[in-house]
Amino acid sequence: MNSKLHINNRILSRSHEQPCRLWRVMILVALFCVITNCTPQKRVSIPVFREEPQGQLPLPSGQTGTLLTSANMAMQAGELDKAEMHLERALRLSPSDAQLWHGMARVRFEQGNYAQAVQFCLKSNSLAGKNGAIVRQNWLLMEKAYLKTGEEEKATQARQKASERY
Amino acid sequence: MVQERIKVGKWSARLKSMGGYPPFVKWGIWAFLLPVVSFVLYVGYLDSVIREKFEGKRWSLPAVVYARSLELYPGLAISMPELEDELQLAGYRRDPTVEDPGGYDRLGGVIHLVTREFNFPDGLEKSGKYTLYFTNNTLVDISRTDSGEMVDGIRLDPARIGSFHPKQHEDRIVLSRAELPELLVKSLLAVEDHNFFNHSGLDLRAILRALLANTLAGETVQGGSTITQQLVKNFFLTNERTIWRKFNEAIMALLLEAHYDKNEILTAYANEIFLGQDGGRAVHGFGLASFFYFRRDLRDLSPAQTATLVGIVQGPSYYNPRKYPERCLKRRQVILEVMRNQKVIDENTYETAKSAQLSTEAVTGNAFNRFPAFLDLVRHQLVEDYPEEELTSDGLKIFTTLDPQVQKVVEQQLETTITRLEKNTGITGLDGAVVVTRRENGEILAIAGGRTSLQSGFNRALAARRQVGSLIKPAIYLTALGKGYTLATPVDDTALTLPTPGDKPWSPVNFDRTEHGRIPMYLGLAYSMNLATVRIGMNVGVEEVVRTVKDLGVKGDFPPYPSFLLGAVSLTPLEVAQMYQTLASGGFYLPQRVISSVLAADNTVVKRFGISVEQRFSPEQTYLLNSMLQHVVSEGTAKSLSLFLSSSYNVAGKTGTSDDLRDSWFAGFTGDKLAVVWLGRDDNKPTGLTGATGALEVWGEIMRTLHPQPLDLVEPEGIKWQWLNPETFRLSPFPSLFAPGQVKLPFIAETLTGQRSFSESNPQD
Repeated sequence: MNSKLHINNRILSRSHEQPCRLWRVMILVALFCVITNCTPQKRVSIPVFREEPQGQLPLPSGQTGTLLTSANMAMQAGELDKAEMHLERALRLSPSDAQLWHGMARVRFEQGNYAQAVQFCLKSNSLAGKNGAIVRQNWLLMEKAYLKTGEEEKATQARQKASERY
Repeated sequence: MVQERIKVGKWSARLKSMGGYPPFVKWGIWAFLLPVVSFVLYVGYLDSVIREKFEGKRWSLPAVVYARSLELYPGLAISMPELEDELQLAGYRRDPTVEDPGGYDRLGGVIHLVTREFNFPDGLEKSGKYTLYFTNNTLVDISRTDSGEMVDGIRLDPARIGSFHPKQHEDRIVLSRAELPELLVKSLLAVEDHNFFNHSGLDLRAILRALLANTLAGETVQGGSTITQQLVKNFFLTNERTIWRKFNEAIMALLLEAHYDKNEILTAYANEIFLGQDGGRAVHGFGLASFFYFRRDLRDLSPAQTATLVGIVQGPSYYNPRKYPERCLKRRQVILEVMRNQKVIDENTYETAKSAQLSTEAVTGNAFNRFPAFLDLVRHQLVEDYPEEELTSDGLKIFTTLDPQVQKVVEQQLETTITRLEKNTGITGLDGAVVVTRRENGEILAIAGGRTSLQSGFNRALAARRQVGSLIKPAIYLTALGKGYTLATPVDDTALTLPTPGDKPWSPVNFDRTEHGRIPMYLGLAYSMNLATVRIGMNVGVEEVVRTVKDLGVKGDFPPYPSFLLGAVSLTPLEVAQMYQTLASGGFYLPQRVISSVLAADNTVVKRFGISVEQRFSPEQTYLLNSMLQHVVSEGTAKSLSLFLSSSYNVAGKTGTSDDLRDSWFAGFTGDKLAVVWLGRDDNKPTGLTGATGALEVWGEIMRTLHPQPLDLVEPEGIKWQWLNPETFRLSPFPSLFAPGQVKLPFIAETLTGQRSFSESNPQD
């Protein structure tokens, strides 16, 4: 009886222990997620350019990402020159990152240089490879640029190209 | 007008009334008035001279030229010695304490460093203490030394690589009064002019004291000059010791004091005083002297170092700490004593400072005026935007794209490889030029204008216009690709004769003087076959090829003669680099950039030279051409590049050799850098070198030292790969078991259906 109880107790305590460990593991996992989310590599959810919420592109990791974020902030503050310089710095680190070239296109667009905005979009597209999201962003921006320069037909084509993605 | 007349009337009345005085009084008045008037006039003259000097000197700041700033981030391929080298160039010093800005230390696999505060075009970068961890020649982590917090990246203040002097070879870092450390000011005044804030330009007591001391000693042992007098003396920088000059100096000192505030005079003095000689440049002011002797910001000097500088004031060459360390040390101890006696420093500081070593840094190793060929290019671009006057006086800060690390490698490898080639082949008088740019943004990283880099003079990279030979060929193949040719289009490499208007017919030959028969087009470029290339060029039209060359970014007019197809056109290495830049950046014309920003003296951006791009060729067309250029390296005329760089780098490039082996060229790019190398003789005599046996070797040596990234061409969407059977010219999506020499090639999808029919319309068929 005694021993049985003892065994039962042990079983009980074990079954009690098991969920306890699970909890610990889950807490650890959660903590890990929280922590890793804080590191720059995982700042996936930060929108790159707010005006196109459907085109949230993942931030590049490390210093390139940091510089792109600074460029974004400068852009939103209307400091276009500064944004451009941050992007130029980022481009020195990651010269074939299509997203940075897209960023340059955005800056040129805001600076009112629509022809260059289109050119930077084309350059970005040429490096985008299979990255459909960035290609779509480029065509959407080109559409806007063409509308600004009054080239309706090209704008329509650009819209068409954009809609082919997604 | 009427009033004036009345005034004149009054004066004449007075003069007339003087007629009443006796003659001796009249003469007496004149005898008194004349010297007074001429003295007043003379003082007025001196006044204008000294004021002009003072105002002028205050604002006369040469434009300073900076290299690019080094970006450090985890993953960067840089070894510890390379970083150390870079730090030295940027004026950092090895300093085991690593406490003050500009100091670093190297321990095991770690570098500790304190960056300097710096005003970049995009804003102020604060000083910070960082620890850098290295593994296998790669920077793997950066953390803040104090908190251990990891950072994504830092950037160093850039190296000063030169300045645009006014006429004299002076240089200075101009500081404001607030930037002058109090310790320096107090020590300086204690030693040179302790009554500075009370006198009016001259210190009579000091003069008398000096006079007495000098008379007693029988020679000049003590100076009685005030700071103001010394400043005046420095403005005119003559060493004649005449009473007349002393007299002028005294007057001008009084005038300066009358016009300007004590602090203004003190600041001017601190920036003006001559403190040493660095080869051809005179070191003026404490700001530059601090860098020149200690590689430190003035504000980071120790009391002992401050005392050294103050001691040097009296005789920069006599007390030169590098040349006469003992003499200088003795002088420093005297200064320290004065500092202690005048209560500038306390007893403890005095004791520590006194036992400190005379810690000057070696004069070599900084980047100033080390790269004349690059500065030459900077000057070329600047004079287009700025008049000489602004460059030499407005204190502009010019931020360039120079990468000192790349520049050093380029200079070194050009020199050693040329020497080796001369030794191996017995050729003499060989020279060369190199241009290196960033592949994707057109920034010029380095330029060598000749084998002896420190000699400024004939800059071959900018000025030597030489026949490019086969370097022109990619333009022909690019044109052909735009007209529906594919890499597999059958082309005949067979003899042909072309009529030349007004000249005898032209019969080009291959370099190896043999014909290769029918070949797929890509081999024509890979093996630089002249006959096949001329046939393609004539087929697409020489005018079209000339247009392509212009679209590639080469400026100028070229008569469309058939010989153009084999490179009978002269370009500078810089122009060739621009041409290949368009290929390297995927068909986008990117104007070369050597300056990124210009800041005014107050750190506001006055000019930006931003990136601009312009698509000139479709990504597909460029992709195909670049794949062909990769074949040049993997199997063609540049195959020997594998001796320098493994084939896994997928380099795209082209060799060039002009008639009679007068010019040896190689142009090519890796994933991150484009470089063009030219070798030849200034007298244009044959060198005996082909592109592959000359320039390619320099290119290979440079690139292998630079940690290049492999070239990974981004494949545009419309590209399809096919297997070519070189025997039958048949294409198939899958490799065949029975075609041993088959090769996988990229195609623009639309050309695949038309490929056969195109070759049928080929006139050579």
